[in-house]
Amino acid sequence: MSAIEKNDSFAGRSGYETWVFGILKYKILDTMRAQKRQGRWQPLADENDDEAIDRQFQQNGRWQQEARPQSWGEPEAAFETERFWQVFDACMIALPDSAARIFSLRELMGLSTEEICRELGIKENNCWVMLHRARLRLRACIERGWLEGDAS
Amino acid sequence: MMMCKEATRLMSLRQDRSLSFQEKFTLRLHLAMCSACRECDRQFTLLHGVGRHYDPEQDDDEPSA
Repeated sequence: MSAIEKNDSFAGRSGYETWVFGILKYKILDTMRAQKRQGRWQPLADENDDEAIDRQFQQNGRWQQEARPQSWGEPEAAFETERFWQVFDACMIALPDSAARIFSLRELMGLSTEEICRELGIKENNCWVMLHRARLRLRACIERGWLEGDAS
Repeated sequence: MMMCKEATRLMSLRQDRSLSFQEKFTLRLHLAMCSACRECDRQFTLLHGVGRHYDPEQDDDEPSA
């Protein structure tokens, strides 16, 4: 990978991470733009995604009993545990590609939804809808893995 | 009256932009009555913060930034 080959030209660990993140950010954006151009990705067209989220709620909009969010304990303490990061990583892998990418751009790389949508040429409202779905799905997966010890 | 699914939409939106007065009000009202959604809100906020722990050099992003 090109970032690793160039690592001896960068001093300081956090500076390196920032630099790698910059590269990843553009790789993700490029991938998504290319897929959109080639017609292989339409922002809101993921049907499997809709089902997975609809199943969390009843017809009337209330949480389904088995999908009701539980407490994860002291929030900031979760970040200190290796278990949380294992579950988080597994759940990121389990997310549909477009959901994982937009979540990464927004929450890991800190782009605003305005920036993301401008770069990808989609409406900001679409970004918000995609992020809503990604968060619902990721949250549910992490809760399963975190509370039940099963990240699948 | 707003239900949970719509409340999660506003909770998510709040991580990405400032809510209008009406949005804030209806969300707050729902959260006051729904403990499941209060947990969800905490968890969305937690997930919004993962980036800080991936890259300590980045400033915490404001929703309207």
